[in-house]
Amino acid sequence: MQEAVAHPEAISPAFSVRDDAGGRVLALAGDWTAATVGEIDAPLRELIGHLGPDPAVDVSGLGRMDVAGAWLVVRTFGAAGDPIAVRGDHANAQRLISVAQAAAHDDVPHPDRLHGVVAVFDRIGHALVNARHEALGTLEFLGLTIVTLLRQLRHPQRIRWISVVSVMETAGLNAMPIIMLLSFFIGVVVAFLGARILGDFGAAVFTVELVAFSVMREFGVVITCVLLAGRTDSAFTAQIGAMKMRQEIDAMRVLGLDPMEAIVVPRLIAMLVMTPILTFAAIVAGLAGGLIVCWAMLNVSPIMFFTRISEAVPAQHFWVGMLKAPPLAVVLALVGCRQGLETDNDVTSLGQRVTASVVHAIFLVIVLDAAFAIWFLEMDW
Amino acid sequence: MSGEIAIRLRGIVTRFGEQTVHDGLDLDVRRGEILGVVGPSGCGKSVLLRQIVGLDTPQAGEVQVFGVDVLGLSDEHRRAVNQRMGVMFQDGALFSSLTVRENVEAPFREHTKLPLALVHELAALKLKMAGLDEGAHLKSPGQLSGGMRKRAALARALALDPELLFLDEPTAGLDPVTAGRFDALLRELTDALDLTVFLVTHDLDTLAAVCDRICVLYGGKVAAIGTLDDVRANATGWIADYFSGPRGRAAFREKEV
Repeated sequence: MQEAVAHPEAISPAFSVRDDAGGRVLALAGDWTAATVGEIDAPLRELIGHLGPDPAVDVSGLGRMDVAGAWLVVRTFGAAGDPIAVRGDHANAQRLISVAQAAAHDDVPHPDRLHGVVAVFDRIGHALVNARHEALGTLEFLGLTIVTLLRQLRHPQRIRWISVVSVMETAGLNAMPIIMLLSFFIGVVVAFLGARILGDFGAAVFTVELVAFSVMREFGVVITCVLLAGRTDSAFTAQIGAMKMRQEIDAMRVLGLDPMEAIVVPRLIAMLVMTPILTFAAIVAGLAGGLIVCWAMLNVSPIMFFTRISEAVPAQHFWVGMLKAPPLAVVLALVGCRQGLETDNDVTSLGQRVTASVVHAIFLVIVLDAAFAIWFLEMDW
Repeated sequence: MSGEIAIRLRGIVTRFGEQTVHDGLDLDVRRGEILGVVGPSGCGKSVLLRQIVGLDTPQAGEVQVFGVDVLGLSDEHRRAVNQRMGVMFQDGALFSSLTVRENVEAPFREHTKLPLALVHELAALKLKMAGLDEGAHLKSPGQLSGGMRKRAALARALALDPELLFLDEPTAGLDPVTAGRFDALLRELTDALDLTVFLVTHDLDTLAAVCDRICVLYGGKVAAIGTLDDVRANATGWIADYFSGPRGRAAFREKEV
């Protein structure tokens, strides 16, 4: 069976040059196919230009030949000029040689590449220009979205509510379990660290405050937004990018549908509604994680835990956390949609855009959160 | 040479759920011919092509390529058979992360041990054979027009000098002039390289211009097979509609004059 499947055993190619009355003759032997000719590439290259006037090729001893083998003959003889004189009988050598000669090509020079230090600076420069370009683009997109949103709010019946609810489910509700689970573990870790380290100072009772402060002010909203950036933003970009590649966006424009209204605004509204809800769920889960550790390690009963929170932790900390959710939701929706709409018509670009979407979103979430944190603390909120 | 059978299909049965696409289909493709496979949309032309090249498996039946039953082959032997085939997909299926020339180099790099400089030369040669000039070789597939993408895909399919060439709708989406040039190129290369071609198409001009024999798939079987004139002469039902519709008449007008 195997013999029938594979080619018969290949014979190594060989050649010899002899002087004949008419001129030099290149005599071929063995199989000249893509599988075999690698070994005679270098010696044949040296022969280029040394065949003298009126050379010929003798194929009477030749085994099998394909276009790769024929090309080596053509290259040796010089592609341009008269048809190559073929001597001897062979099933297809004559035809293959003329095909290869007809398709002979010029060398395609590789574009110049930069090397070493210059290349490093070149890339840094490109990255900087690119970063400025992206920042301006995102701001421009923010403006465009706000204008579209305001226009739509004057005619609320034109908002695509079905689409909004659908995004709320897939991008928001479906993310609830994973967000709550992760937030729960963060609560556990914070409480655990608190119980250990504060315990060293004999202040283990303050673990409850530590958990409440950190989860309400920071972790609830940051965990939610980072997870949404990874989970939902990438989905927005991939979806919209694929639509762009399949010309669905163009079809919308031609049909008089504004992609900003049909694609961006529903996602923005859905994220604005769902991010605070998810943040709330994350805070609850984080507190639950802290509660369990306090109960298990510090003998703080659930009732004591909540009593302590309501006495020692003012509600404003909760609201500070929740207040950060809407602006971050806007960032998530805008970055995801914009990167999707910027996708070019090839797969590589889609991959780059999805990566950029997640990286930009996480970057902006953390930077904005830091700015908010400092501002709120300075305001004594 | 025409007596030899390159592909032999026997009793092919293909079902998708309730729907039976092939119902005991038999077909022989002779060595050295261009066989044009036509049929109404959804009759399983492309599925048949996928089954022969090993991308799909029929529910029942036998697929022989070069006299070997390929359905029972191990992966290793299957790859050996596939090295003797070239496939050109409908929209080219060029790797978009590579340049056009790198696309053609890919099979060389995978299956041969040729020096890099020679691989560059051979890839450029194949692209020239397929009618793509040097200017296009270092572009990315996204920068090419539809016709150029098809040529690049043909060059990649021909990279390792296959004996069998499969083409899925090679002229779909091309303007008539470009499609006509592609047909001529196909005929020329088939003759020069001694190829056997399995050509799935809807294009009546392609059928008239390049195919040695026509095979009509209808009702899960080969409804008619033979030279274009034979098939047209004995056409009934769907086949008659196909060849005598306005598009059909336009394609054959010049032949009859």
